[in-house]
Amino acid sequence: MGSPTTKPKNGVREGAAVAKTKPMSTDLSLLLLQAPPDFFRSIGKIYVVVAVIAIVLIGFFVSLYLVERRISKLENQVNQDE
Amino acid sequence: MLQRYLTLVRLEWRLELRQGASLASVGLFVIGTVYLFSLAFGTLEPRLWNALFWLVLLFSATNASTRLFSRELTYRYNYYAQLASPLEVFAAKATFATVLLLGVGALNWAALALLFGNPIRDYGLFTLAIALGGVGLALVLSFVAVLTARARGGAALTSVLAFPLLIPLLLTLVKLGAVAARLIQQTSTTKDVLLLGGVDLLVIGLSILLVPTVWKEA
Amino acid sequence: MKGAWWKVLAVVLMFYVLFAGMLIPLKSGIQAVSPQTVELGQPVELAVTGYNTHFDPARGPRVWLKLNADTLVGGSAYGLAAAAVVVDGPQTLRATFVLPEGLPDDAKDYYASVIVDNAADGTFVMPSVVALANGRADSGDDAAWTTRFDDFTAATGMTFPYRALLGESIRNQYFHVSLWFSLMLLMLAAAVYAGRYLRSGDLRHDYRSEALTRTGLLFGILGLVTGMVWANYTWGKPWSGDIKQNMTAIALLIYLAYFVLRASMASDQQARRVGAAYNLFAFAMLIPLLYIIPRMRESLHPGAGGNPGFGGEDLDSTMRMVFYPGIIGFTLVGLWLAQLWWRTQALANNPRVIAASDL
Repeated sequence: MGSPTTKPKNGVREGAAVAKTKPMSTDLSLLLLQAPPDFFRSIGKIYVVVAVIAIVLIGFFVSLYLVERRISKLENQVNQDE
Repeated sequence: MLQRYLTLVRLEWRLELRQGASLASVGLFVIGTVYLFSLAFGTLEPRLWNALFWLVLLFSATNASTRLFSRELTYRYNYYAQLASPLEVFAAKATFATVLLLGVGALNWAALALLFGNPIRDYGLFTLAIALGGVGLALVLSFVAVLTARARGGAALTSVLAFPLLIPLLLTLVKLGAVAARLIQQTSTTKDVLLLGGVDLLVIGLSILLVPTVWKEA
Repeated sequence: MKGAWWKVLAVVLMFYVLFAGMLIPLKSGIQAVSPQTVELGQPVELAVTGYNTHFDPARGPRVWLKLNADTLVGGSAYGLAAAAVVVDGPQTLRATFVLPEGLPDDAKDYYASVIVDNAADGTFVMPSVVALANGRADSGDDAAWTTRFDDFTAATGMTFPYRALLGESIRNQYFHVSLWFSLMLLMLAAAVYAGRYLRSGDLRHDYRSEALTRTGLLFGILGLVTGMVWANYTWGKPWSGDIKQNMTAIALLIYLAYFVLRASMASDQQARRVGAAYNLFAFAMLIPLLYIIPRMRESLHPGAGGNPGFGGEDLDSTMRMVFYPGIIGFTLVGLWLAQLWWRTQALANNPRVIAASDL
């Protein structure tokens, strides 16, 4: 653009070539339309949320398991002392 | 208090001179590393120059502070150290580490400029970055060295603890170095310098608060 | 159950966040428009795919193209109403436009936004989606482009914003982002207890501090992993070396080092004191790490480097009504987990350090 070779010809508006490049977000949504959506991308990516919640729950459960293991150890100690 | 602090700084200096090899080893480390890079790379583009500069400074700082806090102490030093409070001893060692680091910074700059040319355009900014960065690096590493002095693992543990703490500092320094070398245009330089100064003040304040409680001679 | 009110609150809030966060629908929006490049001076048919829409021929959806230009006087703007709209289904429609031969002289670029309005779903926009090619210069088409945009239908009901890129995953705001805020609160609490331990030497404070740090670390790891899952489906890959991701990884390293430090001390006494000092120090260094530096650099995360901020239009008042309770809920659950851990630790070390009132 701006160099003599791309000067508007026959009234063609300058920048028409530039318009061929699309903004990124539309590229992605076009991609969504063309490729059949995989499981995680189906229903508006709702399963991504499900996965995130599942991971958080797993984290909490692992944490609970660790506390329980510690308590079991304590119980064993107390039982042995008696 | 100031008197004792100054005496301790002087003693550190004398101790360093007596173990002349250790001061030389710091210098040799800098020159050796830079020379090795010149052999390996030949030329260094400014971006790498900048990164190498701060890396060498980081490792020299790690070296210096672990050595300062775990070295053999003379009878005279111990005598003074027992008279002084932990904070005074820490301040003396940290001051010494800072001064040492500023010297390393100058030497590092000179060595790199000699072998690869000097890409720095804004001398004032770069000097300021070295000064603020030197204080920050020396203080954080000294503080961590105090923490790890009694731990198993010593120097290795110091790096494990200190490097993640130092990354924000180093990133800011690398950015300032790039600005000083005119590699990037930045309008937020003042903010970065203030951030560095802020981190330095933060570390000084935390050291004053925390060193007395953790410094217990075993 | 005395003193357990905040645990009840934690449960209530978590249920509220789960139900409100998952059940409130998204606003209607446009998923895709094709073709994305149109030739000026010709009639063109745009296929619009909606999301959560209820297009109905009887209720006459209206479609516009709108140019990026300053608003004209009198509520008009540069744009074009569709000459005909054919509804193919509740989610798809085709709109025919008769495009003028050129663009108005003060159009800002060659892109047009698509606006759809219908009685059931309200009005929604896909910004700058259609590129206009091959326009004639000086065609004097300003008048042809001048259109009034008015009597839009307002959508009713509670909804979350629709973003084409995020889709339903915008709900992760409540399950990923609130994790972060509670992480900071937990680490703050850990640092406070570390300070109290250093001042008083009271062992209970050290147990609390250690347990809170442990829980904070758990939240940090969960935040990082959930963030990677979310990033994979929005930014395209789980790890893009985004500055905030890197900084978070470093923050986790700092707190992992805390446990390494504690484990490597010769005596428990030393481990506690040194650990507490490091904890305070680490939290102080975390503030520049997590908040100042990411803002100074380019980031994919909202609120930095020209990204649409979650603080702005992306986090509307409906989202706030779920997001803020989410932060409190996650923090309380974290406190609960931490409390279980520190009580167990205290019990293991010395059963008598716990008085009933401390529970």
